[in-house]
This record gives sequence, C-alpha cells and structure tokens, in this order.
Amino acid sequence: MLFNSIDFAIFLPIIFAMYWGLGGRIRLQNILLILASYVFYGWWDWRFLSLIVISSLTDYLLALGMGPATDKRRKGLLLCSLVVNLGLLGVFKYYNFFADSFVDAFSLFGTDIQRSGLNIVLPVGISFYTFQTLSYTIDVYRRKIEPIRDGIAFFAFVSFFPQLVAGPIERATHLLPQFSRNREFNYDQASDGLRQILWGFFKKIVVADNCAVWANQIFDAPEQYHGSVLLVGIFLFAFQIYGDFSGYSDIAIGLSRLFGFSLMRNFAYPFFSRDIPEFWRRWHISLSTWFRDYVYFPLGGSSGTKWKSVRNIFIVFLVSGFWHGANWTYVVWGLLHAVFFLPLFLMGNHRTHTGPIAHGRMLPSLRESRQIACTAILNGFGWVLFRSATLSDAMQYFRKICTHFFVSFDGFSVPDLKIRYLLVPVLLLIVVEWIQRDGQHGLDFTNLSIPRPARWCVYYAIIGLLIFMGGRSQDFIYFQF
Amino acid sequence: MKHFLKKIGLFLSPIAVFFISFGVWNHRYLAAPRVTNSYCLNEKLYRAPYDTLDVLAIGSSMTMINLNSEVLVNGLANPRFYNFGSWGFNIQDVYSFTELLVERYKPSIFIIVSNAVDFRPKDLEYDINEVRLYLKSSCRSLGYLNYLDLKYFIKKTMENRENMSAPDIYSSLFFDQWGGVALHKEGFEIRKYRWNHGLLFDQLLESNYVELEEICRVLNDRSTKLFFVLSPLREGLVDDNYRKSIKLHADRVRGIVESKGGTFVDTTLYKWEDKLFVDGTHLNADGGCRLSEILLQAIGEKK
Repeated sequence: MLFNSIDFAIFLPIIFAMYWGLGGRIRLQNILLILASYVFYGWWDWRFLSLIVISSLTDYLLALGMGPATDKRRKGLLLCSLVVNLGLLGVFKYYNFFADSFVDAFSLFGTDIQRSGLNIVLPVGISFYTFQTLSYTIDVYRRKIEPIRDGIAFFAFVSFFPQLVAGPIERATHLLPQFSRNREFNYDQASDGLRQILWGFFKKIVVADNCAVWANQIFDAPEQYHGSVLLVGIFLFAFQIYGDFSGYSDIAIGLSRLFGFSLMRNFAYPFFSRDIPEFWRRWHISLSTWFRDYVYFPLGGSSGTKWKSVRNIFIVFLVSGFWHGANWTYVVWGLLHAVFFLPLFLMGNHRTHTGPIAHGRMLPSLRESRQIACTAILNGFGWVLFRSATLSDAMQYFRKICTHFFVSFDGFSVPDLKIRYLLVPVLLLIVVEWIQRDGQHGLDFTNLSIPRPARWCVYYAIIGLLIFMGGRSQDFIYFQF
Repeated sequence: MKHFLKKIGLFLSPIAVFFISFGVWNHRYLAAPRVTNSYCLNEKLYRAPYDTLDVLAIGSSMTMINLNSEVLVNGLANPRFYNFGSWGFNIQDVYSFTELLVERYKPSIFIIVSNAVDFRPKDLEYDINEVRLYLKSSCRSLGYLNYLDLKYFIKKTMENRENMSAPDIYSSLFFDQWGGVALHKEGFEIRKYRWNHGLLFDQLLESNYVELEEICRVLNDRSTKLFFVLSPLREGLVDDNYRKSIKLHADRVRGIVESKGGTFVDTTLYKWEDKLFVDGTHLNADGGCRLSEILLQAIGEKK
C-alpha cells in the first residue's frame, strides 16, 4: 500500500480509530499493529509476508536462546541469525546480480554459460526490515538489550507499517521498548506528526513526482540532449530522490507519532551540507549510523592504523553502495563517496562541520555558500551513477556533458508540465527548509509563535499545491532497495 | 483525543465545504474517473451501459461525431446501442478494445467509422486490463477511489461545463443518450486551420493494417458482423493525388475487411457538399444523418 494512495487514506483513519479505541491495552494495540502492518505489506504481494514472518520468528527465537547461553553458543546463534537474514536478502535481492555477473565474467574469457532461468522478484523493503531485525540480534549478542519474551511486541517491532518498507531503519534499543510501554495519546505530538506528514506529502507529490517526469525523460534518453539539459537532469534527479525519500521518512515519522511512537530522524537537510562527511551525517542517517555501529566499529573504526581506517571506510562505503541495489552503478557510487570522504578524513577534517549552518544568521556566508555548492557538485557525480541503469550509461552521460555542452534546451519539453511551475515548488522547498534548518522538519512550528490563522493558511496552501501541482503518481524510489 | 479530532474536523470543514459546493454547482458535469489518459474516452467509459448491446460502434472522433445515433437507432428498430467512439482512437486502440467489448457486450453488429487518419501512430495510454475491470464493475463510481486525481477532476469538470452543454464547438461532448455527438451547424464557428486540414498519408502505419486484420478475425470468430465505414473528406480538400491515396487506402481496407466476412462501406464514393462538414473530416449533424443512412442501407442489404 502506498502512502500516497486512496487505499491508505481509508486504511489510516480506520486503524487510528481502532488503535486508540483499545485504550491502554498495549497487547491488543500491538496485535492490531501487526495485523495492520501485514495488510499494509500484503497489499503489494501477500506471498512476501512469509519472509517477514520467517525473519521475525528466527530472530525472536535465536535472541531468546542467547539469553542464558554461553559466549560460544551466543556467537553461534548470532551467526545463525546473520545467515538466515543475509541469506534471504542474498537470494531475493542479489541472486540475479551474482548469477549475471558470473556469466558475464566467464564470457570475458570466451566461455559461454547459459543464464539462469530464475528471475527472482525483489520483495518490497527487504533491505530495511532485514537490517532492523538484525540490529536486534546483534544488540542482544552484545548485551546492549535483553532478549524480549513478548513475541507480539517483537513481531510488531519488525513489521511496524509506517517504517516497514523504506525506513527509517530503527534500532531495537530505541524502538522495541516503545512496544512494551503504555502509549498515551499526546495532542502536541500527534498534531506535529500531522504537520510532518503534510510536509512529507509536499516533498513527495509536488517536488519529487514533478521532478521525476523531467528527470526520467532526460536520463532515459541522454543522447537526445545537450550537456546543459543533462546538467538540469542531475539537478532535478537530486531533488527527486531527496523529495521522494525524505518525504517518505517524514510521512513515516509523522505517522508513528500519531500512534504514540517516536522514530529516529532520517534526514537533516542534507543539501545544506558543507562537505561530504557532513552530507553523510545528514542523509539517510538511520542507514549510515547502522553501518557505523554494525560494520565500521566492529572492523575497528578509526582506532587502528591509518591504513586500517582507510580500509574500513572503503568497506563501509562499498557495502553501503551494494545495499542500495544489486548493480555495479551503486557499488561505484559508494566507492566514489569513499574517494570524496577520504581526503578530509586523512587530513583530520571530516568532523569540521558538526554544528548548525549559518548559526544566528539569516543567510549563509560566502564561504559556506561555496562549500554547499561544492558538495552539491560532488554529489552530482554520484547521482548520475545512482540513476543510470548501467555504468556505460553513466559514462555516456558524463561524456555528453563534457563534449556537447551548449546552453540550449531544444527539444526539451514535457506536455502539461512547464519548468517554471516546477521551479516554484523546488524553490519553496529550499527556502522553507533553510528557514527551518534548526527544526525537525519543514513545518516544525513548535518553537515558533505563529498565530493559528497564519499556520492554517500555510496548511491550506500546501494542500492546494498537492491538488493542483501534484505530479503524476510514482512509486517511492527507495522501495526497490 | 477529542480536542484533536475536533481540530481536525474544524480544519477539514472548509475543504469539505469547497468540494461539496463544487459538486453541487457542477453536478451535471462532474468529470469521470481518470482511467485512461484520454479525457473523452474516460467520459465514454463512465457512461457505457451495464447491459449487453445489439449494436456497438467504436473508433475515433469520426465514429463519435460522423455517426448519427438517432438515425441509426430508428433505422434498426430501436436496438440497444452505444457509441464508444472517442477522440484520438486509432486502429490499434480499436483492436485493443475489440475483444474486451465483444466479450462484455456481446453485440451482433460492430461498426467502425474511420478514415486514413486512424491509421497513424497511437497517442492514447491505458492499461486494457484496468479498463476491462472498470467496464465489468457493477458501480463505476468506485473508479473515483481507484483513479483519484483531484487536479484532473476539478479541471475536467470545469471543461465539461462548456463541452457538455455546447453542441456547436469542436471540443463538444454534448452526448446523446447513445454516446454520440451531433454537431450543430447553427452557430458553429469554423476555424480556418481545421477546415483546411486534411490527411497526411505518409504517417500511416503498416502495423495498423495488420491490427485491422486481427479485429476482423476476432469479430468473425465470434460471428459478430463488422461494418467498416470509410468516412468522407471535405470535397474542397480532395485533389487528384489525394484521390489516389484515398483509393489505395480504401482498396486495401476493403480487401482486409471483406476477406474476413465483414462489410466495407465506402462513403467517399458519394458526393459530399462542404456544408455538411465542420472541418476537413468531421461532419455536422446533417452530414452525420447522411452517413448513417448510407450505413443503414448497407446493413439492410446484408440482412
């Protein structure tokens, strides 16, 4: 079920009413959340529910087994959990990729091997819930959290519908205890959740879906356009993916707040980052911190020799790229970011920008503006790789920008969509998020004293934009991961 | 919680008032669900009968406008009839719909009014399986839930206000009860560009002739009688070259249709005065009556 669908618009109020109608009966509320989440997920393909059940059941039982076990046995149980979860992920997400790469590698040496007839369908959001449930068994193994006996709470934690298919990837230490606690309706939390949902829809429907129409047209046939148009394509794709993914996260966090849960922040205005390390502290935070905690630190982090730290950084970015998809473009995208990251790391400047940007000022300084622009340009290289279907497509895109750069927009039009109308929402997004850069989301009015009529006018204006400037509905990009 | 729900109710009430007022003000013109990317086809599908049909017409605007429903229905002694003709339909679209419509409506007579313009490349986008489900559903209003698009709904409802009440404009959707549109010649403001616009024979797609063959085959297999009517062109547009191209096209279509047991009705063999047209290819109500009478004659001969 998509958040931006009529099905969900009917589903949500029903579940909301039933959930709070159950009063403080946590167990019943959790059962309802499991059922609702399974309906939500099964709306795509009910057969894949079995994967969630297998994943949940395996980790629940293995973690219970870890409680009284010896260290050796605990290690064995953790290994089991890793094998099952990563095995499922490997089969459903990476089988086709490895099989094809294997065949391609042999054909390089002149040996023709028949391609596998298996064409495995990727279950929606498998990377997200697999990582979430893995965080539980790893944290139980590390004794950061006690294994939970309440299976219902655990199943609800794994399948919690607001963040099931595209995150934020929650840690068991943060989210799981919330399923065992009494949840009371909180007016301020719920109304701020609604504001965050509204802002998320604006980013998805108005910004991302409109940018998608142009970006798709350019990336699908880059050979037809001049370099100037291809640059516009990168700019539009950057806003498409940001609007799409951060919009989803905003909706997910806002929905959770309606149900009395608090999810971790996933985006902190990444386009205002002053360098690549800061970008990674602001973009898809739940994933980058997951890799930090469960891959980078266990590998030794930056505590060993410089060479070891460099190796660890490369591994993390490589795995991060591979997590995004079974395609060499993602792998190279990850490595490219490692290359961008390393110089600052080696100079010890990778934590220079940890504070707020333009603190106490209306506008960024010239230096900050330059840094933001440089970071955006570096990211632009990455977006081409991220969006292209193959490495050779990406290379062709770069080549065309370098060899056919004329400022000409001939043949660049989409029926019913004028670019000046598209610039309005993109600019609005930038301006609002800049003003709100210290807040949690674009409509975070908690620390601002804006009179209600003015606030409501803003909400009505956004609803108007959703209706009249909404793009053609597209799936959320990150579902494929 | 009560306070929260009260606030939401209060916040949503102006939006609800807006939509209710909009609906009441436009209740006769409410746009149909956006099942396809064609506004006209969406309106047609929404109004399509739920019952089976005796006679069914399908094709482009040539079918929708050039076929006069009243003359046809009277001439055939009141059969159950519906005109599915819609703007922009080409032969490939007709093929996509043929099996579905024959299966759904079980007509004994199937009419296509067309000329060479319908053999150009395809414009429309739709998922035929979605259309199938939509036509089969017992309540098409539920389509508003499946194909919700408020921007489209508001915009097209406003357009419907004009198009559904004016029989004297090119974009008229002043449907009669059978789905046809008879354009009134009185008050019709003819545009020079359209009046002088003919056919471009170099845009005809070979694949569309193959699709036509398939249409004939499907109808023949189901013992449904096909009447393929070649629609006329305004006399002032036709020079010798044009005449040659039309004849080539007509001969080819005749060959395909008749080889599969269908009837080819060539109205270009008749004399068509300019006063029967609203542009190069579309007839006004009088022209529509004339074309329908020629078709009736052909149907009569086949009986």
